[in-house]
Amino acid sequence: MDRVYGGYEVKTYEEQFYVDAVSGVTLEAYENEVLGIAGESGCGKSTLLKIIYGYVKPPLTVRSGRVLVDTGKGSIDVLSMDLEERRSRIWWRYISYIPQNAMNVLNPTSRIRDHFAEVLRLHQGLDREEAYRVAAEYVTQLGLPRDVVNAFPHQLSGGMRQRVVIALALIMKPRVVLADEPTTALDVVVQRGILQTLIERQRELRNTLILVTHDMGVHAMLTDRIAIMYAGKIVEIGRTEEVFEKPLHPYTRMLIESLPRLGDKRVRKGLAGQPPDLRSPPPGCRFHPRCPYTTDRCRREEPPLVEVEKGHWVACWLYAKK
Amino acid sequence: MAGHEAGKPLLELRGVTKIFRYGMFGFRFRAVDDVNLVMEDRPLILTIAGESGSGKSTLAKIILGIHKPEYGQVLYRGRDIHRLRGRELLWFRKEVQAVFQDPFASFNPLKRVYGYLYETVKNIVGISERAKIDAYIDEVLRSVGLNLDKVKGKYPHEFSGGELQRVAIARALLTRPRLIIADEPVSMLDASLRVNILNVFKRIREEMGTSFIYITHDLATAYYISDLIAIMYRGSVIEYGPIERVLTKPLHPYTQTLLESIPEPDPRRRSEWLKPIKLSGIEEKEFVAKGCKFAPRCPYATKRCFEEPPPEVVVNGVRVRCWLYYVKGSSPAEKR
Ligand SMILES: Nc1ncnc2c1ncn2[C@@H]1O[C@H](COP(=O)(O)OP(=O)(O)O)[C@@H](O)[C@H]1O
Ligand SMILES: Nc1ncnc2c1ncn2[C@@H]1O[C@H](COP(=O)(O)OP(=O)(O)O)[C@@H](O)[C@H]1O
Ligand code: SF4
Ligand SMILES: [Mg+2]
Ligand SMILES: [Mg+2]
Repeated sequence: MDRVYGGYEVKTYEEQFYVDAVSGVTLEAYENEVLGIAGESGCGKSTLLKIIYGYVKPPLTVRSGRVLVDTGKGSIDVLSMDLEERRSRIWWRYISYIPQNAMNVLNPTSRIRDHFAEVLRLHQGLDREEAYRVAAEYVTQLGLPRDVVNAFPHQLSGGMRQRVVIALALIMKPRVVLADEPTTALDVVVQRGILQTLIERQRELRNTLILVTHDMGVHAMLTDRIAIMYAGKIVEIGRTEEVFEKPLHPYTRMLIESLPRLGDKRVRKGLAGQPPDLRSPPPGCRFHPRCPYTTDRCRREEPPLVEVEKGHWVACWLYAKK
Repeated sequence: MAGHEAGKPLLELRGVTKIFRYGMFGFRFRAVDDVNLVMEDRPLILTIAGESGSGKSTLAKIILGIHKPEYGQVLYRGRDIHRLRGRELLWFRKEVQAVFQDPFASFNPLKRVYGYLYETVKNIVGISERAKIDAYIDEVLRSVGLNLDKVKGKYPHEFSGGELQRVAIARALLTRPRLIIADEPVSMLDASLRVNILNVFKRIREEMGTSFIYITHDLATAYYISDLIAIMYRGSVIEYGPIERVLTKPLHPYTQTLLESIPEPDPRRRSEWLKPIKLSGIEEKEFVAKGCKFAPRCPYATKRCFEEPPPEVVVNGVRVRCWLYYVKGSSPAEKR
């Protein structure tokens, strides 16, 4: 994606404002990679994913920018299409999206097999019987019990519903999979199993998985590269090992150092203060009110994203050539 | 009643069992099942950990006297808390305080938070002079990193989640409790802010000698602040002991699985974490299983595990509920 600006235009009788949730984000995600997006809640991760998917409905608007997806036959700008076109031409097939709290999106009145049948009918023209057979076959391949397809959503545990949603998102072998906090509400054992399935499938399809989560542990276990978001902007991006080993941005450093670890009782310090209100973000570097290294320049000018080491970028005046 | 009497435990749970009649499976099940715990009377932090639905909050409510168990007793400094009346009950409410997960749910949005602090001091602590009340509130707010000026006149929504949770902790501290039960007190906060609150707990423990029961599903934060840990699984405490031992040399197969599955912020652990595990589809049956509730998922399960509930055995000062540690002829952990 290229210099995307998007946010929420909120109009009520009393007030009118704009939430600057995705502010000039440029990102590339490659074939056969898992790109992680991390950051505190409210920093714009979900908004970013919705924009990439082209799921842009009021109050969410995109003010400028492009989202290009390589379909194998040239690239298309998701944002240039209308919603109907996105739905029929690119969703499921090229990009699929696992929204936050996805396990609640299943229609409670239809059986799991009918959820699959609908997708298979729309995108592969299968009739109902065929679709049921394909679905049952497919879920067992992903390690789910076969009779899951006959259940109604409420008969399944949260973890099982989430596995179903993920299976659905992957069935058309999309080139890009967007997953928003796919396991946040689940216990760690179930989480591990689900994320293992997700990554196995990614390796099999050699596609792109963009994984959003605030859980730095999950990023460390799963992603190839990681982008750190702060208040609507990408402040650091690089190979996951490198970012954990040598975090550059003061925010990234504090984020990683604030996390308690098993077997380590050393006193830790959490971040001071709180993230800014995105209705009126601070000028200059958006992190400056919480940063221990703030200078005058940080308060005035926005730091550019610069490449400090190959493939490791950071937006902070401590690293920009003066 | 002040001063820590030697000998008598601060808190003791004996065979505590809570049965719910319409849980998520439509029949009777034991949300808390024969729990035995002893907490010595000195400043300690005990973690109760387990996945969601394992019975942690139900157990907390039993200890607070909100739920009455069907079987078993909760003794606080030797007194059965479900039989306290009148003055004794008031005493218990001063001594044992609670902090819950969502601070916004604990405060009425239309009421200034200062009002809560004021009322607690006036009605429960028993100070009546306005200036003295304010001075006391200010002192307590300072112990959680706030002060009266930052709080006075404000409504709940004018605070961040972390700040309001500090106010909730301050409110709990006003009665100078000996024990605070904190049920998922940092789960709503961003990970980078959690240690700030946990550091407040540590400081209070050191400075005021308050003990804590810290309820969480996050073992890393548990390790960071606790001395003891009880791991719950489907209503049972399956392992209980010093945190150092339980989390570095876990005995119970469930504790082992749990520890291996934690995604730690350290990419060097990745290959181990990615070793495939199998998920079962039978979660629902486990609450009512006859034998060990973990048997269907346990790699070491034998026939006996499916048939008989395992006894509680003590191994090196750790209590564990698992047949693997049962030696024939040995006496299971004595039930006091
Ligand atoms: N529908 C909406 N209307 C107005 N503001 C919104 C809406 N959805 C999200 N926001 C705001 O946009 C910002 C980014 O939110 P989000 O993308 O959900 O963050 P994250 O996923 O990182 O937690 C936040 O300040 C949030 O309050
Ligand atoms: N008041 C209640 N009535 C019926 N079932 C309940 C009640 N409270 C909790 N439960 C059930 O008891 C089990 C344990 O719940 P809880 O103690 O809240 O677990 P945890 O705090 O570990 O997530 C769950 O299955 C839950 O649905
Ligand atoms: S640019 Fe300045 S304020 Fe921003 S993170 Fe870097 S040093 Fe801190
Ligand atoms: Mg989100
Ligand atoms: Mg709970």
